[in-house]
Amino acid sequence: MDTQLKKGLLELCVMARLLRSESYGYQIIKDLTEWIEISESTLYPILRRLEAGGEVEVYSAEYHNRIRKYYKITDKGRERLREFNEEQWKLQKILNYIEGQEEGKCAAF
Amino acid sequence: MPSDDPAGDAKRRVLFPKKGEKTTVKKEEYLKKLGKKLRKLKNHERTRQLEYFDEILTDMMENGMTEEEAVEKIGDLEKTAKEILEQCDRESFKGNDPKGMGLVAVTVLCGIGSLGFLAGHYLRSGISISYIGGADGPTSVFIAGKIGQPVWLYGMTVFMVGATAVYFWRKKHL
Repeated sequence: MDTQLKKGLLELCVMARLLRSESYGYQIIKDLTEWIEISESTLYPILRRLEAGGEVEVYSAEYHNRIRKYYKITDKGRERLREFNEEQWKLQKILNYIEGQEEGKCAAF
Repeated sequence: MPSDDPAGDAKRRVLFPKKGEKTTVKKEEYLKKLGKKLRKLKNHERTRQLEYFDEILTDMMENGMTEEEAVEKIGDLEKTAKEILEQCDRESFKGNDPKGMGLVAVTVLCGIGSLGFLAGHYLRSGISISYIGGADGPTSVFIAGKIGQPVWLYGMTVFMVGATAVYFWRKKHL
């Protein structure tokens, strides 16, 4: 997949995962791998950005004698996801255009 | 052909891997090396990054991977460090340190001054007495030797060395 496009989608994917439930680094990667390619090194900056933007909250909790960081979506994050989903029809139109299928017209290629 | 120094070989493989040769790196070692590559980051940022990777590696190991497999999945050390540094914004990096540089500069100047005076004093080989004058004229005895040493400068140098040391120690540990 196009790298730039993937970058944009990854943040949304992480938020979508956290919409379902709170989670931690390893689990997020494990769950998302099924849907989109994501590595350990790419996840962390995404989480930091989301946290800086107020879309995600972090908290530490003890697990098996060590500290683990858990991530949780905020209302702001939910709002962002909601807005994106409402505009999916716009996205679909663009995807159609890229594919060469404007409304009604047949593929030119 | 069996090696006669398997432990040494293992160590060499980790420290000086030949191109393409697989090396087994343990988690602590990987994190330590990664930490070194992230020197440019501010301490707290660097710590957070390492904590994140430590957590992930531990989780991977708890979920069935061996230490070596986990480290390998994270990927090449250089590449990972590079990705991390690329993703960090400017604020995460250690900035220039005019205060620190200033302290070092003044300390060095004091040091040079002190050394200059000390050298001058000791090269003058103690007290010497020389006569100036002739048989028919006034004779003056000229005593050269221990001119006043700038004790204040020596004191200041010691103080500056201490102050600079404290400054950098605090910077590193706080």
